[in-house]
Amino acid sequence: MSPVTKNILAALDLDLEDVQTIVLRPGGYPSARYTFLHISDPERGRACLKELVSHVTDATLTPDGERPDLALNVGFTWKGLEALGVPWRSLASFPPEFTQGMRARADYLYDVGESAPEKWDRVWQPDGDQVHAWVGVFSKKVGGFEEQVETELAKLREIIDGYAIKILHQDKVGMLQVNGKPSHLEHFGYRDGISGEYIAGAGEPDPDVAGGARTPEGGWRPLAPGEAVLGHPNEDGELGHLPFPMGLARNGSFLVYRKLEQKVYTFRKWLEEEGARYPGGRERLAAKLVGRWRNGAPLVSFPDAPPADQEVDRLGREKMTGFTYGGDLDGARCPHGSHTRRANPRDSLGFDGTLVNRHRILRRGLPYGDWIPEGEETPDHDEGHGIVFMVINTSIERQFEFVQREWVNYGNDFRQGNDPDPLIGHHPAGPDGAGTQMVIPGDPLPRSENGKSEAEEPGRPGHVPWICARLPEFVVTKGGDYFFVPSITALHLIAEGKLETS
Amino acid sequence: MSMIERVVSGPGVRLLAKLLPEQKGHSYGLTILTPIRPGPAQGTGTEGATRAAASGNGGLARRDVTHAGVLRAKLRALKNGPESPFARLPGTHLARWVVLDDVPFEAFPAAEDHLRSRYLLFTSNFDGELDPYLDAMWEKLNPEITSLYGHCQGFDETVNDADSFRSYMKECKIFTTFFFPATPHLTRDRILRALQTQRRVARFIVEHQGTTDAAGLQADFHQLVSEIREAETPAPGTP
Repeated sequence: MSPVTKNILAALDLDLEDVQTIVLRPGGYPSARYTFLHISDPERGRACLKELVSHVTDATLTPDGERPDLALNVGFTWKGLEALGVPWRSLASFPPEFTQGMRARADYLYDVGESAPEKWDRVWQPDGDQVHAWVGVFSKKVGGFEEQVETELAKLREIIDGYAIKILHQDKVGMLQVNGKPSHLEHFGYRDGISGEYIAGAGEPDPDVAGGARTPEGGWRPLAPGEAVLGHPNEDGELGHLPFPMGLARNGSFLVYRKLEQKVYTFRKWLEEEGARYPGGRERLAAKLVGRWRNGAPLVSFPDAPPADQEVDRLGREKMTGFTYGGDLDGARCPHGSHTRRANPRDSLGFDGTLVNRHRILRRGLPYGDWIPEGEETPDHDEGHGIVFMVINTSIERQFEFVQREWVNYGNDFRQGNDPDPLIGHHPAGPDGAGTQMVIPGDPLPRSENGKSEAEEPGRPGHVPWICARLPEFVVTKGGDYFFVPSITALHLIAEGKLETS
Repeated sequence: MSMIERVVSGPGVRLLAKLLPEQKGHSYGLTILTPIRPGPAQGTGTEGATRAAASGNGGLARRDVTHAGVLRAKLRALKNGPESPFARLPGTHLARWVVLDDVPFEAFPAAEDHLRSRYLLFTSNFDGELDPYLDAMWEKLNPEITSLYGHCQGFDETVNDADSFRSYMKECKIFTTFFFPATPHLTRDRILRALQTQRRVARFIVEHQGTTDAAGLQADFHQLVSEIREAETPAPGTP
């Protein structure tokens, strides 16, 4: 057993009562409201937080393994911590990327061109009141949640108003209603949120560890708790960088908040046109871009055609989340440059996944805007639709920023040169008009019984190699920031001004 | 013997040289440490020299009047990319000049260590053998060499032609430990050409994929191949 695994087992019991819900519980909340606050006075800010803390939900589960019906979580930007009067010695101990905030990291994150911070939503602009706090209210209900969430928000507003805290902005997110029914699809028409990496010690009764971290024996194990919760051993068997003092850091986490606008019209139109040229057709092209078919079935397990939608829900974890790329090193089934293979390369980079385990992110995202039925999209629909993409991690630089920069916007680790992620990468037009491209390797399989490759067999869909050139910008950043999500203990310490830093 | 000397000389290095040679395939990993002349540089900053005298301890009040200071200013003025002097030097993959002040302070007293001089560090990954490379350096980079190395000990006194430059540099050469070239089997010019080929082939595929005109495709492909063959090697430092 590796030392890391030993550490994980030693730390198997996380203090779930001290960790905020969002840190350890992905999914399970189909709708949410995110409210952004400005705190103009430290004393009143702390008094407000003191009242708010009793509403903040933790990561404990009911005896049946259920999450609370409604969750309320809170996080602070570095400026927010300053506005609450957190002592300087603590403020100075946070890692630089958090201190700077997402806006200052724009070049590093490829938030340039259409995604440049000057074009972000009003609330993120530097000339107005700065975003200090994020309050997330999550509901388990799919229908009728509005009322439930509104009641909770009214309570929140009452508390906040009493302390003259300013509400700057609100983002409403929730599962899309497709054909009148709640759906796992996102706006481009792919099933989203399939893999939710399980953290050791999170206490889920039937955890899905498939797709977590590889064991040398070829199985899967949970990710080390220190990848999601500060103050616990991470995948290197270390505590990593912690803000000071331990009471502030332990059981906290960092939340990356990014509002990503999806150009529904541009994407569907491009897919239609390129899909008409691509010999495999539109749906195969759609799958090659992402690494999964629209209904979520991975290309590695289903290289030729997706299983029926009804069947997908019955597929075992091994097929849906526990697959590997070791049998597809040439990318014939799932292109190296496809979205999901980049964002989580699994065993692609060798060394039993050790290199990949250091750069895992825990996604907590939901769409905003209404679903546009297929065929009804117009150029207007390039605005107002997208995903509020959130990430839980303990090192923003090592986890989220690394994935965004090295894997999503650069292809070298996958031998794709400068090619970015075809879906969410930045796609600038090149100086010579070449722009950005995605290479889809050819697939000589399957061969028919007579040993001929399908290319020699007319009438079968081609698996020829293809280069998608001059990719348009499909996804544009509309704003966001980095938030510290303190433990319940730390929230009390901040609220009471009792952070001992001497 | 200082820790540094123990690292860069002695039996340990001979063993390392066997395990991790300075040459791999076409690639040579060169490291040259040339001691920088101490004291104020001639003809610069009389103000600084006066202040140095006034300080009474032989130190200098202003860094930029030392030879190291002038060197730094000259290095800052060098250009990068296609206009870098190293672009004129055949076969150079990556090269740099750096002024080394001292080794970092680690702890007192067990690991305290100092360099006996400031050094001009020259590192280069290049194709081929050392002697012709140094000769090319003398020939192609002569203005930079005389200007920069004039601030180094013994250069003005001993170097006046390619032969004396070669021996001067080799005198200051140290063994490159842990040389790891990413592409030992490819020369710089082959890499530049390969990138050009990759760009052109990608463009060709995009323009032709899906076509059913086999004869036209073949003709265009032959055209592409001859274009690629005849194309000039892109200039070093270009994207």
